[in-house]
Amino acid sequence: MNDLAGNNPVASSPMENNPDSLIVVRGLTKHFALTRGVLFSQELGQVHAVDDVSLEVKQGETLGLVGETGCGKSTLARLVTRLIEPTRGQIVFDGEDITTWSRRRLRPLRRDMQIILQDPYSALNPRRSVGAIIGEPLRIHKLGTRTERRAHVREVMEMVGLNPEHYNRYPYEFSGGQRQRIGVARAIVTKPKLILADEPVSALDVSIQAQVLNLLEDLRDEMGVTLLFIAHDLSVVRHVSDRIAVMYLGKIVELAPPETLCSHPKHPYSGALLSAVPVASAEAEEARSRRIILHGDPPSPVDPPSACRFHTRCPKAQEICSQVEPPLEAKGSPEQLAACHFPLTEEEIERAILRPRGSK
Amino acid sequence: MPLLEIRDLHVHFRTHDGVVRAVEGARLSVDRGRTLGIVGESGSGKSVTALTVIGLTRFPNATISGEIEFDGMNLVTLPDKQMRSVRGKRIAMIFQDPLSSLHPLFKIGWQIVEAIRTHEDVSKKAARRRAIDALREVGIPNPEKRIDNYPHELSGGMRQRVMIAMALVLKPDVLIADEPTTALDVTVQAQILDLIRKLKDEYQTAVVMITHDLGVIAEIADEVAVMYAGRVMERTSRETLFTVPELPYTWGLMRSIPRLDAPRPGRLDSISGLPPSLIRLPSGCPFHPRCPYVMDVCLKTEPELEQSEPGHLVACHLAPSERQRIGRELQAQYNA
Repeated sequence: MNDLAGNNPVASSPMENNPDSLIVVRGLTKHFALTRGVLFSQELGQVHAVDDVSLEVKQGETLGLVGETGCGKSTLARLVTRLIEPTRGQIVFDGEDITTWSRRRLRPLRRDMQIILQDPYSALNPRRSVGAIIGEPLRIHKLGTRTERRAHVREVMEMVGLNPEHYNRYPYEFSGGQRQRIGVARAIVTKPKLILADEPVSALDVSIQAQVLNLLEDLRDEMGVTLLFIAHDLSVVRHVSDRIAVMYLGKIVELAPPETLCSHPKHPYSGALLSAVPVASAEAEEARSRRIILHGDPPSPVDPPSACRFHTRCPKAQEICSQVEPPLEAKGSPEQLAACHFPLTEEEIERAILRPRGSK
Repeated sequence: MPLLEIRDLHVHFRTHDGVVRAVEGARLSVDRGRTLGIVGESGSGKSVTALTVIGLTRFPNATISGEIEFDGMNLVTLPDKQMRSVRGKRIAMIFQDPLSSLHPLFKIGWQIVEAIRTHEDVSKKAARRRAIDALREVGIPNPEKRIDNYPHELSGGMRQRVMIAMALVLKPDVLIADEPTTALDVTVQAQILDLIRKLKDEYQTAVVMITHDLGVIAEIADEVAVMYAGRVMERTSRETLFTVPELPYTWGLMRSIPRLDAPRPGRLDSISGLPPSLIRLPSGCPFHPRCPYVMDVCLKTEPELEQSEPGHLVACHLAPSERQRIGRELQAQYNA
């Protein structure tokens, strides 16, 4: 179906074993079938959740995935960890091509990839004690004896700022922020190489959000863990990430270090996203008047726009944007990649975006 | 005289665990064509205050005292029957999650028509015409067609527009918006905030905007009330809040958000500890266990909400000059 399949880099590129990279994905694609009926189900179309994404994540790096509802950021993260099956593409984790590994073969690898979910209320089994919840991954992977596991769980509880004496309590006895700490403890208990954090702070109050962000940062520094950090809040993603990938309708449209992205965005969608974030300062009024307002909603991923998917809402779109898909390539500096025919100029950025003070 | 004035409002709920003091002595007011922003975290009493205004906290286990004055009426003691003609018609409310506020089995047009016909004696046809106009006004493309959609056929942003259309079709005097953009993406949030601002100017509606997001406050509020543990702890104009905030809790909120308009700090300055239980509040100032500026007096006496500067009310034992110095220094980092 996809006319890009022919020049999909997966087919040609040899598997690279860059020792610095924990994750390498090439041409990763996920289409969900949209069906009607149960017995004689009829396919109505395909949701293009993630389309031809290539990406490398270095050992110990924090990669932020940002984008709006339905842009495919969570799907991408779940593909990378093989929680869902890719339609196409290749996934290399820690030097091994795991794209076609069976569930059984993947199982030992699972201890190296853990996940923190958004809602600290539904992510924890209400009928199990906190100690049992945190120790579950150890039990599943048969790590250590019972006593060793217990001791280790207490250690981890201490690390994330929970009182180890609360080992036998149940989730309902904890506040949202503490529950999220339980979620974090469960994710780090097997000392994973990769943690997938899917909107870990969006459900928390601002004062608690800061505590959890600081905790994640400390753990990353202490354990050297690689973090895939998914969030819709650009200011949060900027705060934690070493690099940020901006997604729109299943594609990465820009990939850059946070300061570069926030001060010199190249893709008009990144620019629109940045200028839409309300700023808590006396200058908000001024910032608002300069805002790039996008009209309408993102188009349906079932039938995404041709070529550049942003062209239907882009203030800079021209004819070529609906005909030729722009590749994700270096713009400005080698570490800033953007997929756009007409990247934002400095003048446009100056006009539309309130920049961090002190940056040029 | 303000259009809506809340004086010394107390809302308590009796529960098995004890009395939840959800709102304690709140004083707020809002005028035509103005926006009052109420900011606070979960459990600060901001939503309970709003719900009490439209009589939606009149549960058997609730005790409500104080006054809510609106157009010569006291809404606290207004009989249910009269309250029904105020609620929706003169004071409308929109909520965070439009999907759970719309009935999933009825077309959106039917739901708007029902709202109109509950309060006004008009024909179905006329009501439908008004519903279409309202949908057009909130920026829904093709309103003639969209009116026959079910809620699930619309995106989150569109559903919130429908809620706003439904709230505004009766031209209410007051619009209460409880976290109306929290469930929406930022680009859609920008659209919705613009829409609320535009409609407020056009109809001179008084808007009460409840949010946990100081960014939203900075964008839309004229006056701001900061709530904590059921109390209004700081009240001032938006300009003052973002130039000389005087409350340690407000400073804590401002320091703990990562911001796009400032260099990246190494760590966020989080407020330590947790918000207090509303059943067993700490002695003295309810913020004292988390306050870095705590003094002996804070443990014993609760500070009154007092005027610090004209138009600036603060409940804090710190000396006003000291508060102004700290607040000014904090905001100087962000303002040019």
